[in-house]
Amino acid sequence: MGSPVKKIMLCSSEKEIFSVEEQVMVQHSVIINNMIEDGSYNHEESKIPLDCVDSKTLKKVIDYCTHHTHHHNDNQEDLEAWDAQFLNVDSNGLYDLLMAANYLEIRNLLDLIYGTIKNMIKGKKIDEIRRIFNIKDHGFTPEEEEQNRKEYPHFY
Amino acid sequence: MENQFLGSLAEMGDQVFPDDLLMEIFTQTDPKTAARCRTASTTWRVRLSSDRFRRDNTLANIEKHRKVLLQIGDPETYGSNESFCIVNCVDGGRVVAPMPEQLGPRGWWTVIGSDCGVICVQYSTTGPDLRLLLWNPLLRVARELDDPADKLLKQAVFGYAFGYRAGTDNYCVVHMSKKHVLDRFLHCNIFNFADGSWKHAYINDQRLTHLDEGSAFHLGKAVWVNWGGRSLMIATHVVVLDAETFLLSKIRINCRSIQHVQAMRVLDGIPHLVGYERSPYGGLSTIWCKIDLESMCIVPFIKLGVAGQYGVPWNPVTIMGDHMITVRENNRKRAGGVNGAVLTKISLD
Repeated sequence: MGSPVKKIMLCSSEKEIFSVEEQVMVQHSVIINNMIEDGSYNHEESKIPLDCVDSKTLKKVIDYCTHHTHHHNDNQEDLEAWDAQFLNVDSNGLYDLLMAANYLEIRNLLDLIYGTIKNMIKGKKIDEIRRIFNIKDHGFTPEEEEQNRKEYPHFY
Repeated sequence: MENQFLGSLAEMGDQVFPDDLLMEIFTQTDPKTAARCRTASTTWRVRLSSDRFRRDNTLANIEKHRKVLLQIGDPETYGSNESFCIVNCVDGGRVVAPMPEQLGPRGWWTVIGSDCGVICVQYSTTGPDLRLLLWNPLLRVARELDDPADKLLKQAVFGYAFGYRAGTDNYCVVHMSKKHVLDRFLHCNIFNFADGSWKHAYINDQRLTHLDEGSAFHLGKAVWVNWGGRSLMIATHVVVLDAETFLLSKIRINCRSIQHVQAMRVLDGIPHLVGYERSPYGGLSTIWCKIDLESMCIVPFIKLGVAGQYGVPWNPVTIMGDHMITVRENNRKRAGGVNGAVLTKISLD
């Protein structure tokens, strides 16, 4: 028998505690890797508080890291299909995931989400882009807006 | 699955995208989307116009969007009706692109330039009715423009150029002409997509004698090579016309840096001069010079013993990565009436 798998505790904003294999998080998250390495984490009693990540999102992030740790030898197509399925969430979920991935510095997940957002705005009209990014006050004066419309009619 | 993403990403009112995340997304988008996002808000306009963003965005896209449009075969000579190809510079794959219906089997046409997937063609169907056509083979959109050239007079100096101004969705078509070599004034016409009309100016320059048909458009400037010498075979100057200010400037081609200029070609969006040199040790060396429009100079690169391996003059078409593609006339095939050019790949590494 090898040594038991080391676990770490992650605590979401709702104070729900998730127990994850240490290896999984260390491999993907720069922040957690740093925490473990500099010894500020005590396996017996500490839990890592993630105040800006809610339980639902944290669960997804852990899912992602676990899958990519255990299945990194799978062929590329399967992984991509899994990623597509994984990102099949509503826009708020995507936003939360983005913020969580940014907070935990999970590079692969960030790139995946960037790719999705990139595809969302590609070829979209300006109004749609504004709606996607929730720009309410675009700051152009009506004259400037008119000028823009004249200059780039195919953007609108 | 696409549709559900159409909702706002940050509906929750106070949720705002952090700047660094936004910039990272924009850096990876294609230049067209970036140009579009630039008009979405004033904050974005400032951020997405910074030099740093432009540089990062270009670097991020350099590998992804290296599809170029190549004109293969000379339409004037060979009457081919499948002359536009989309070439993928990464793997060399080649797809025949659709032709606009205006360029039928009859008549005459010549390509002025292509940029951002749009091809600018000068054509005529019957006699002296020159017209300009902008053709986007992917979207299959054609737009016709009046040709400002004086159709009845034979012109001594003339040149066309077409291109997009970097980072915008605004293209320019530039036409330059001179009725007689000894004429004092150059006629300049510039069509600006934003204005939607031709602008005209006279430029006082006596020394331009013959502009190359090939042109380039870079950093908002149209570039030609001016040929001089007894039989107009020596490239003397690079002529640069700023499409915004109508300022004409010339870069002297120093024979110590490049001789026997063959043509001007665009590589990675930057115009280059390509030539060869007879080296004292036998054989020919290929020289290609980057035309640096920021500092108005030409920077030569030399590859020894490359151009000479075929022993005949060659016409460089383009440079892709470490390879130069050249065209060689094949007289035997030409007599047979088929496309008489041989494409040759010369390794530069």
